[in-house]
Amino acid sequence: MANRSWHLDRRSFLRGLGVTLTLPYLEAMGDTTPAVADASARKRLCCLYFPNGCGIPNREKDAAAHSQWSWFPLGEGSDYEFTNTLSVLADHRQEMSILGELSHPRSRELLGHIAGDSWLTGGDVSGSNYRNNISIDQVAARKLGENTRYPSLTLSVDGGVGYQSRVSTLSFDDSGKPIPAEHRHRAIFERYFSPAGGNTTRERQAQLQRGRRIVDLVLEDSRRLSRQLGTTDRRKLDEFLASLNRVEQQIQRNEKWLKTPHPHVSADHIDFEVDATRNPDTYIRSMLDIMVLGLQTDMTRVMTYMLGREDGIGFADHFPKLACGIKRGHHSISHSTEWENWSNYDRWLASHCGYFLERLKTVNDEFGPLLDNTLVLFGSACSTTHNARNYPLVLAGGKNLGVNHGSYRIYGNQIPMTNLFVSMLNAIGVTTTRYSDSTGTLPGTLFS
Amino acid sequence: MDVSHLASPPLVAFRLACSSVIVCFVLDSGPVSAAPPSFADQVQPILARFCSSCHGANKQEGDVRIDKLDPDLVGGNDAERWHQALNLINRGDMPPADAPQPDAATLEQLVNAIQHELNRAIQARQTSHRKVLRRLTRSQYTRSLQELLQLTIDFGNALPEDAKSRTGFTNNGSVLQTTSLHLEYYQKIAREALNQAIFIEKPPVTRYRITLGTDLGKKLTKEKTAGRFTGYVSQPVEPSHLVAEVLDQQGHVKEVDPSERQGRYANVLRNLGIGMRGSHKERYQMAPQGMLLDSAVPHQEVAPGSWHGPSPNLKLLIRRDFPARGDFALRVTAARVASRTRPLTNTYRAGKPLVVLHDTPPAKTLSGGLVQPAEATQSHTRAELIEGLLHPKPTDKDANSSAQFTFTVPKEDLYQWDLICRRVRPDGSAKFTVAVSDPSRAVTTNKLHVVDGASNAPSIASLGVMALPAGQRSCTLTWSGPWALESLHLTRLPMEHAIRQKHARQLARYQQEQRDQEKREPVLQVALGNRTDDGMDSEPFDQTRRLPTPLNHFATYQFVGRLENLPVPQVDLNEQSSLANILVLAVWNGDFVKQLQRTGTRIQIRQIEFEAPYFATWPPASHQKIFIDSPQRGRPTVYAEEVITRFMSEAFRRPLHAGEATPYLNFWKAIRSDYDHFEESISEVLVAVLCSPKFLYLAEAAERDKTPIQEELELASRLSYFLWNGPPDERLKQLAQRKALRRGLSEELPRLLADPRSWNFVEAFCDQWLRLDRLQAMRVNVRKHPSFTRFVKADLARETYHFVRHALCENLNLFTLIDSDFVIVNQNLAEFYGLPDVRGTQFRVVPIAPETPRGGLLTQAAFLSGHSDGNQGHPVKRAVWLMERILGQAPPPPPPNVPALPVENPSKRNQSIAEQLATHRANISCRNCHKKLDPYGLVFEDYNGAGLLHRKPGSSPDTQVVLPDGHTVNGVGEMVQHILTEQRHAFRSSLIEHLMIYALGRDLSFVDEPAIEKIARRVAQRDDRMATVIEEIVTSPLFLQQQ
Repeated sequence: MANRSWHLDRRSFLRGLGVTLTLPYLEAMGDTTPAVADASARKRLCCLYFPNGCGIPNREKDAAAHSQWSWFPLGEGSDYEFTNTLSVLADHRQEMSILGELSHPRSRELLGHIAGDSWLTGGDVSGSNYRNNISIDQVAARKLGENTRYPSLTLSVDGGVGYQSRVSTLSFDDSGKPIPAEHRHRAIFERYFSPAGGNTTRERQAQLQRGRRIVDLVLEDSRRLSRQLGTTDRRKLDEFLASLNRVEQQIQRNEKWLKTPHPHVSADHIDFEVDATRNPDTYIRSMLDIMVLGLQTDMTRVMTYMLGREDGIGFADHFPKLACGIKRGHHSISHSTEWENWSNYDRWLASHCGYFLERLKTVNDEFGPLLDNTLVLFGSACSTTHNARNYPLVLAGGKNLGVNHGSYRIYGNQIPMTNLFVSMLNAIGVTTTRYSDSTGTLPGTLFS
Repeated sequence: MDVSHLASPPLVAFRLACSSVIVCFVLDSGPVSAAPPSFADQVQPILARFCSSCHGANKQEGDVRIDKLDPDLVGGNDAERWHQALNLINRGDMPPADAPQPDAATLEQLVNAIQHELNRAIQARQTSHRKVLRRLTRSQYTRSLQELLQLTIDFGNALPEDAKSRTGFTNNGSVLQTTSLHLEYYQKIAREALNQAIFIEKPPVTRYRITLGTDLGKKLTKEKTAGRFTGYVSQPVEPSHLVAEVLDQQGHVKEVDPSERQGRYANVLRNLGIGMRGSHKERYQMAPQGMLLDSAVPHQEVAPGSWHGPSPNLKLLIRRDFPARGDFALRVTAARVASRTRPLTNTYRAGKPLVVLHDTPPAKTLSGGLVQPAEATQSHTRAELIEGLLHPKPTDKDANSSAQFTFTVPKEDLYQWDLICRRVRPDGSAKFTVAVSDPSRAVTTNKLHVVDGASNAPSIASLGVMALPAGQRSCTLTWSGPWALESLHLTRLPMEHAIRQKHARQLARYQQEQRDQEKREPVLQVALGNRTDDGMDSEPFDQTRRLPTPLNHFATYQFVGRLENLPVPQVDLNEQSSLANILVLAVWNGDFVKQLQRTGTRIQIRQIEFEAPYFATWPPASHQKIFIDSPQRGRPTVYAEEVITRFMSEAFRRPLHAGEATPYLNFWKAIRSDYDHFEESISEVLVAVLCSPKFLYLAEAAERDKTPIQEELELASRLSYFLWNGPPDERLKQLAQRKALRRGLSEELPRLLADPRSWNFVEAFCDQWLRLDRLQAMRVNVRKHPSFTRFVKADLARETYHFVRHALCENLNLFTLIDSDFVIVNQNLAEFYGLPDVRGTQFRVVPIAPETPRGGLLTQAAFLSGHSDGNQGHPVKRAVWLMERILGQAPPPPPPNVPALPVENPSKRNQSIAEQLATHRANISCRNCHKKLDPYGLVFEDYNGAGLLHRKPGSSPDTQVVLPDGHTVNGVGEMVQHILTEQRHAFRSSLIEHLMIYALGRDLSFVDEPAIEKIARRVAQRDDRMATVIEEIVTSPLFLQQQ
């Protein structure tokens, strides 16, 4: 069965080629998708991470500080009260949930900094052999990236991969290897958005062509084999051919992208030359603007952005001084009991999440505000100083994805955070029953 | 979490485990015809009467509903379920004892009717179910590529994990999927593999060497000095003790320009250095000939200690400039040196004075003492002798006075120094020290304060106890303060003195340690890893190397590994942290000791050298094997055809059919001009070959048009993927082509089993049959079981592999697997199990006494620990294992929504699992199954979560059980005997059945039962030996796929 359909696919596919479009950048973007019809809403995933956990003064010993400066709100359920920290997200209350007591069980005994390596993976980085695994964004990208120019985008303040136990990226590939993050605004824009972008096109073209030729040859050879097999075995080989067909289709989609010019986009509102040491606010927001632009043009549907590295490494550690006038670095604050300072810095970090949500709410594609089809996860991999439990987490967006927001939900420490990942993946259309050390989906009514 | 039902899905119980009713399989040879009354008419009234109340419309115990089973066994879908029902009835398990029982005649009618229908079904299905197209598993793919390309890369590592069949096997053809992700990976892996196999030119080789020795690098200029690497848990070796060098390919020192700012060797020497694990500094020491390392103490699996490596370890650290791919060599120049003995305590603080004061004569020592009156002083400084008293000279207040004495020690022994002195001024305190020059040791008093001492009244100052050898000694007494010396007394300690007893214990320990050290043998063990923030992520590679006995005999030991298989750091040149981008090559003395007080043996590391990529030959074997030597070399088109067809034939494990290579050759012709080099264009074709299903699947042609040679070749592959888990070798293929394989099978088997490649089979089969993967996944609580180190865990799996392979290669009786009078261990495991006198890292047969609670698979910690909860044993997991894996009886699956054992319930934490199970059995819905299941697990209750005995075997009532067949068994020992007497056939069949599942790559069904039963009987009739089992399997029609 596979053989015939495979050829039909290709022919019908080739008919669709040939029209090169120069398009205005807004809602019409959907039309530049050269792949098979993608009529349903585009589902997306964005994950934002901040290092060193968050301030949580002890509820009993330091009740006054707790009620003001704790990252987590007071109360529970839908009538929770913001403290100073997250009140900066008050405008988005109905589009977000605050999640309490989730963490990765295998990282709980670790120093919070190392747990950062497993935030989006739930991998086992606790033993003498570091065994990380694929991150949730890369799982999502396998599916959500089928019809976009790029499967995913991995960003961070510092770029690169850092080093094992103190990575500077949130994304890990199938074998658990870190994927280098990009961090230079202009370079990112030029590579992914400018019409002349993708200087590696010729090389990429050659690569795709090589892949396609090999698929052709293997197909020819498989047919010969198929003729020699018995009925049962032939049915088994059809599974191989069907998979080969899918590989072929992906190559064709990718080839088509190479012939599809980048859309013209206006980036006038983005400051590419911003100096992080002078203006961290704009530095981060410019990157968030680029992300919004990427979603809006459907360049990709999956992105991660790491807002700083664990343990005072990298220049994001100076942001508290530059942005909030606090006379300590972020890591140093996280070791102190300067609750007010810590809360103010946490608030500053959360304000970027708020900015991102605001942008996603105001920018539309043909299915409405981007936010309604986008899941945004914002958080860290430890709570108070070095404690790799009760991660501070905000899940926002996805009104059309069956997510019920408006509450502070406490899950209790029996639920691995990967259960949240399973639920998130299913919400964005990536059917999954297991992920890393998950034991099921997230209980309760957050996901309907 | 439901801990009680973590076992794998149940094995299909298709065997008669207990022969209360003997059923013979007599296959009708004549035409099949169903005689009236119909099968349904015969059995349904009986079933309705005795079974439907529990397995009918209203109730479905065990998820079984018998009234809905399709009575057409030949064509329907329920034959397997009928078969299970028959087994349960035959075993007497159904109907349960507390339910109404059919009489003998009814029972016989029922059993005969089902059996008759099953026989019909077996015959009807003989051919249809047999063969299944199998994709290569991850490990088979890896082995196949490794042999094809002559590379050691763990190619399959990146592939998605293979799913397990319901019997726990990963080579099951119908379960093995091939997704588009697989295909993308196959292409990617093939491309990278060929890049590593084929070379256009020799790549640059990185070769660094560091020599260690006290002050060796002191005179080097700053530019030529090695680097200093600091960071948590790493103690830098000072660059002044190091000489770092870059070597060229021939091993000559290469002059690098230290002022170079850019490029490959910029700052290279400063990016090389040596670090030590930071703790237990007494266990290593820098010396002129290199670094001294005591036996290492293994680290525990508790973060962050798990990242520090064994203690001590020495690390060659290379920042930034190292390759990430290719073979590499690590060369360590080392020698065994004299062990460090922890010094014996030779001085003690004094107890009571051993002299007695009298007014006149002034003082008296106990018998055997020596007295040195002040007048006997040989010389003195800042003191003067006045009327027999040595007075301090009141010159400088802080300066000490001293006096020398000479005396003869009559006998080597412990002596106490006491001093008689008199106060010369009313204020001030005094402190005395006596030091003996040979052997050099000293004892000192605390500051002496005598408040009420009237001036000039004699006092005693007890200085301390010293061990002294016989002979003449000289000593110096030094003192400060307003005291005059009257006499110095040296008294032998009385026999009953407490210090003497303490010393004797120390002496015994000391002598024991020295004897122990003589028997030990140091080994070099190496690991490669990368520096993380809190230590290193590392993995040992290559084998350990023994350091022979001549002390101080330095030799260079070469270790070879593959960078891609090990945790090489991913270099990020933008990364500024001083801990980033560091490659770690660690070496330690692998003659492990388990306690820090033990010093073990000692080695000295003189030099350590890293070379990568390392080519044992040039061009490497991988390249030469593809680009074969040929007279056609000068004619590209002809040569290309030769190279491609040879490669295809090896990849597809058979000669090519006519015209089979044509599309590949056409492909090459079409693309060759795209490439600058001939080799690159060939490589591209070979990528396609490696993505062909003919390589990726064990494809066997349909019966209709198969030639005898084809059949033989398919058999060769079936055989090699069974017994080697990899492709057939030349000899197998040649035998096949001569049509000599099938008839020469029995002669060929010993060679196949003796070949080292049979390790691949043993490991894969043991992992899946005995579920060693569970040991791998188990997280043993090492706080509770501190001896369970990573090295013990790794060796435990090896123990099982060695044990099974030994039984196979030595052709032992198959029941040796259940009960052996030996174990196969190395020193590490012997110490873990508490077995004496096993030295060294190599595994060997160690005979054990009958009363030793080890021997056989059932007492191996790999099973016991893998089926625990990490703290204590887990009887349910162990029971399911014993029943499924060893006895071949599938326990019924847990019903859905079964209540969990409350182990995670804090209030129940104080209960043992055995007690919790008792509670569980009290629950009516659980009782029926657990009554049959639990006894098989409770017998193991003497063994804890690490697989160690936690009490005397048989000392607890927990392990005394009544088996479902009525036998009473106490503990593992009796369970073993029970299997050897009552369940012999069950184990024999289970072993054969599991081997057959593995060999065929598919689960078995009732259709295969007669065949298995036949093999089992033949094995029993012959000799019950392991090689016989294998022989009977591979010569069976089932394996040979004969009708």
